[in-house]
Amino acid sequence: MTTVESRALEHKLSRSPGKVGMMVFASALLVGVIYTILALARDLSSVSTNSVFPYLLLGVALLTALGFEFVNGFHDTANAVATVIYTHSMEPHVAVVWSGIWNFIGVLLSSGAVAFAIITLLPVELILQVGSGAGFSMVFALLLAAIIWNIGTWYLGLPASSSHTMVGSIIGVGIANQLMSTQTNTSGVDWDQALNVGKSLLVSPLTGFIIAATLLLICKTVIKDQRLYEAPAGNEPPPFWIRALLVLTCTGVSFAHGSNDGQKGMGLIMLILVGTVPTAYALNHAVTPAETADFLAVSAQTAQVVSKHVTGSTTLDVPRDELTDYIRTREFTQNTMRALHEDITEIGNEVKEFKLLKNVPADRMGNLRNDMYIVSETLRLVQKSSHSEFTADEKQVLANYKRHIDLATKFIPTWVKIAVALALGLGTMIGWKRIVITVGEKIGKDHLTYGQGAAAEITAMTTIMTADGLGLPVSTTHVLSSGIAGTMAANRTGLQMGTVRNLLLAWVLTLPAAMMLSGFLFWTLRKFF
Amino acid sequence: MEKSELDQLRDSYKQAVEEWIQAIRAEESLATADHTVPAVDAWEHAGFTEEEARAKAKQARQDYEDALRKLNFNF
Repeated sequence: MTTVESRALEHKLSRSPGKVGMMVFASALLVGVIYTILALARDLSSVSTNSVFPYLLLGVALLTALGFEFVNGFHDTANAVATVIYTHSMEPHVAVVWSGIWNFIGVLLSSGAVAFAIITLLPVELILQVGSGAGFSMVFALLLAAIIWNIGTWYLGLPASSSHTMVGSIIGVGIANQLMSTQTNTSGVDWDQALNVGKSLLVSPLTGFIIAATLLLICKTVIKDQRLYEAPAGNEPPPFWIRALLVLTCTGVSFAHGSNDGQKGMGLIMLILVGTVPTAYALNHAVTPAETADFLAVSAQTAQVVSKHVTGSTTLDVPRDELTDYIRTREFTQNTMRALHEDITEIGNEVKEFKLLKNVPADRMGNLRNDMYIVSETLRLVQKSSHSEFTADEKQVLANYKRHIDLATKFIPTWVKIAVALALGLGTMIGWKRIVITVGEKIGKDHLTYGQGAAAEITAMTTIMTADGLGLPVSTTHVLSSGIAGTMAANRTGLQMGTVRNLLLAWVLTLPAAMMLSGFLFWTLRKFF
Repeated sequence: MEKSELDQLRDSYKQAVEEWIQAIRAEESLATADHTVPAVDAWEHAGFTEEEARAKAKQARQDYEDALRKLNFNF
């Protein structure tokens, strides 16, 4: 790269702060909103109801879910832009628009794995009755609790974890559901899942701190350019290659954040859609005749595999209840095997009868979806179970069947992705200053050097992308904030202990606070719904 | 941001800090050998004045810091 080219890029990055990007995003926003409305109207045209209530509920719930993504956007912008701003790698208004656009792209290209991983944490009976008062109370309590806590921590300029907030909200609803229920067979919290997420969220900050510190020390040993380890002089940008690296990592973190955090809202929006307008969204209408034929063949093969493990000849009244019990208690019995076989056969028969999922009558759609969801969850747990009776080959057949069945229920319409992408992208561009200041000025005692910014941001990007690939919800915030703290420690520049203390307090309090908030909201909403 | 505006903010900050220092000294000077209730009350009131002066100084510092951020980082 010649000096002239380098200057040209510099000029492009610094001219007319964000105006071009803002115009591009405004156009995308307009097109996206029109597309979303048209797609929703098309989907709802097949729904026949005389009441306006479901539509009203759908509208409020969708706005709340998109509001959650919007708040998540401005709460987490700092993770991507703080280092490029404070190293003068990008002009701040360019950086936030750039980050917003890459969040948008990240959401659009996301896998959906995290979206459905989040749903599996919810009480199973509430998922099966998501259209009931309890189901809506759950969704609203989750979203409102997360929004309230995120806005509260943002107001105080504290980069707390949105992932922690969401998990805490889910646990709170689970506990409240269990405490409020008069029945003994309600599920509270999927502690295994919650523990896995908790471990991942605990490991992220440690990883961020250690890796970023190590990376900086390695850089200092290998790269002898002293400019990298000194505070920027005036408004000078860093050397071209380090600037390019910082812009690249800002892009990567924004993309990863979009593809990870965007999915949380998507999963909840799908629950809302299934609850309000099951006819349109309970089953994936886009499944083709060829895929259906394939599913029927796989279904017959799976039923045969499971039947080998069924003993006795009694027939169960409601096989789904048996599987629900298994999901709740994790106790696999002979009745579970029988129920699994009966449900797989029943699902196969129903699909065979209607030939295509979109042909399933409205009054049977919810039931079929629930059967499919329960069977899928049972298979997920059976595959994880160490004392499974199935051989390795049989497990492969079950996994293949699960993939097919998930195609019918675990889908995300394109308009949902676009709506979430717009909400998250727009949020990223608004209200970002508070937390950017904390991350950029209040963690370390000295000004962030180019090398520190690069080390922290590279660590954040690689950690998040690795976790995204594994389908684990990871806290971008913890990784980046602790990454910066790690580089400050490695540099021996010292930490502002007041901020560090507040950060740690917020991180520790996020889970219990979100739990209490959502539990209280669930309890309150159940009085009305 | 004009340099004159920045200078004004810096002057306001310096003046607020001076007032805070005066308030601290005033409070400190009232901690005397007189341990009666009226003397303690006067000392405590000086403490409240010091708190107000501190808040003003912190706000002036914040304003100056925000202006410097605007100058150096453009946000």
